[in-house]
Amino acid sequence: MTGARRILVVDDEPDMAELFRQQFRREIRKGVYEFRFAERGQEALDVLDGETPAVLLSDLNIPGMDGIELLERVKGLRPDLPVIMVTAYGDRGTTERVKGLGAETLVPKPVDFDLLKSTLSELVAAEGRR
Amino acid sequence: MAKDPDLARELRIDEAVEVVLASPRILIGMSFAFIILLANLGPGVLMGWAGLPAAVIFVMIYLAMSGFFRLRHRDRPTDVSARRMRSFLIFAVVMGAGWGIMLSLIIQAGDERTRTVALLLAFIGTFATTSINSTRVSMGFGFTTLGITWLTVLWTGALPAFGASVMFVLAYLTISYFAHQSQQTRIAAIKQTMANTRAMEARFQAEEDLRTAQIEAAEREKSRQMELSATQRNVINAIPFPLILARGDSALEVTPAARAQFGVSEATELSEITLSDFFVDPATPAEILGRIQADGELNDFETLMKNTSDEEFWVTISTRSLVYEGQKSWLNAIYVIDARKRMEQELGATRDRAVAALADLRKAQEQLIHAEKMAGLGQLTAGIAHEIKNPLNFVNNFAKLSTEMLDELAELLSDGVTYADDDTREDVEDTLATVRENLVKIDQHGGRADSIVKNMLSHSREGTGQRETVGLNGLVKEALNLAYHGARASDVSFNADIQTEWSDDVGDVTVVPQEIQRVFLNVISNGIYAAGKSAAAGGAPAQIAISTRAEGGDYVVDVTDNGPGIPEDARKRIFEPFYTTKPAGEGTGLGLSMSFDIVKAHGGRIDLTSAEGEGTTFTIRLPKAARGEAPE
Repeated sequence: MTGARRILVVDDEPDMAELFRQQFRREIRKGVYEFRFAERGQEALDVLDGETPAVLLSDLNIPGMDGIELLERVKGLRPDLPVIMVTAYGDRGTTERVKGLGAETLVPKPVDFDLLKSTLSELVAAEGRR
Repeated sequence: MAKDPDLARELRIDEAVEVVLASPRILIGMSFAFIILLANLGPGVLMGWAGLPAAVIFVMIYLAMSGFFRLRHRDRPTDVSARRMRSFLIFAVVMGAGWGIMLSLIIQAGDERTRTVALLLAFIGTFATTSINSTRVSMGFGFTTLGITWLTVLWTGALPAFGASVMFVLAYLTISYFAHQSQQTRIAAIKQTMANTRAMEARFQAEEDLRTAQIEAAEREKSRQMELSATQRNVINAIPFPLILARGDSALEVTPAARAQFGVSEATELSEITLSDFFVDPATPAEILGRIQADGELNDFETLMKNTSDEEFWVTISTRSLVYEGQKSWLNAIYVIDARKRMEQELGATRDRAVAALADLRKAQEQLIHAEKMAGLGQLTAGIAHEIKNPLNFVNNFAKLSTEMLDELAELLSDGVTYADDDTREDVEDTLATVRENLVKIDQHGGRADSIVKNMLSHSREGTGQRETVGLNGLVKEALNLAYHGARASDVSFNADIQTEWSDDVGDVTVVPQEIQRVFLNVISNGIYAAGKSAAAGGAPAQIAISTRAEGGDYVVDVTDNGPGIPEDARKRIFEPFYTTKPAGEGTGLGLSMSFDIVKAHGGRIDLTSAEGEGTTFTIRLPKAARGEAPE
């Protein structure tokens, strides 16, 4: 365990950053996670250029490059990077689609943060084992 | 003398009749002569040879008298033969000879006085015969008697020859003249009679001819009339549209065209025909009668008639009065306008259909616009729901976080903060508690708004289209609740008796829940609408029965209402898009059509049974294991 795991969150809602910071305030304080936020797909790709986050969390419905395209491009750049997709319109077809594209899971909005936390810890643990 | 055969014949007849009718005069004359003879000369004069000719005379008179009695009452003969006329001459000559010979014998045997009487009787007899209008008799008798007497006088020398001869010659001339005159008179009379007769006959003939001519003319006129009336009848009978001459309800004349039109055979007697039988509406004859009495005629009266086989056809009737067999009668000209009428009706029907089609089209258009609006509204709703959903998530999340943080704050405050006094401490704690309560309320109401948004999304078409395996009973129950509360929402006074029977045999179906729920919502809402409408119209209280059951590989849901039922023709069309019996604005006509498609796409079926006035049952079958293709 060397330092905080960096999580990149892509969502066009600026308040989403504040929400994550507050929800994960204890983990941030303890240095378990640290968050980077991007409002656009391109912005996320720019971040990935210089950094290597542990997990990518992206909304499906974002302006410009949408979540699906972002997922495809991220998987093209970093096939091993775990990706969690978030959506308000989730159904079984979408879940299967994003999983088919390499996403770990599809988390419905409103986000159940307890569930998200356990998912994240599982992913980080799995990464640690690799 | 008599060149005219008719005149000669008439003369013969006239002479014969005169001779026959003269017989009594001859008898009387002869009787007087014999009385004179016997009175002057005594009966002895006839003793000896003189008696013989006297006897011959009496025999001849007897013969004449017998002829008289035999013929006197006979009709005037049409002709008399020349032989008979000769017999008259012979009779006269025999009588004259007898009379002459008798007187000659008396002269020869007698004295002076006897001779004088005999001569006197000779002349008297001779002149007496001139009274008979017969040349033959007077000349035959007179010449014979005078001749014998003259010869006797000359032979006996009873009178001087010269003087006697002068006397006899003059006597001959006189007799001849008398006879000739008498003959001329007779000829003139006969001529006159004949002329009169001929004139009369000519007149009779003329009258006869005239009468014959008149009869012939009358017969010719009669036959001409008959021919003319036959021609008129032929003309009338050849008129191709029906004509009926009638008085009241009785037919007087029915043309062949009329018989053909009304199916009355030629063998049917006119007395068997009753005109009112030919009118479909029994009130029509009275109406026609009223018009005829008001106007004196009828023009183009349009009505429905029928023939003896009850086949109906449209006609126009025009009627005029005429005198037939001395009585006022009515001639009805009947024009069959069935083809025109039918065409009119067809045109009317076509026009009605076109108008109806136009109305349907307009309605469909309005419904399309409505449906489009609804679809737009649905999208708008979905869009609004989505837009609300995100900020609402923040509200809920931050509210929850704030609660947590307030708890942390309360902990910090209780551990490490020293208050100025207890009041201040109480104030702080009180405020914290209130803020916490408020945050709980925010969380509660946020949750409530969230569930509203979820419902809005699930009822817009923005479904996932994803098949899920769900319990059918639950799906139907949910739809029933929605439908019932929807009905209550639009009409607070609405109430219905809902009977449900959920079979435990009914399990899961693999369906798109939103779609199938729409189907049940639709069918149940329709049932509630029908039952409610019937109840509002004074019928039985609204009643809805819903039951589920398992049948073969299917689960079956029956939705029964006690509404007015669905008419036969509507039943066929009920699943057509845009077909609705609801008033405009109350239904799009798409509900059942969409339901039908949805159920079909799930491998199921919707059927309905309906009895008018009793209610309708919709039966929805869905396979236990989905067989149909997933809908788009």
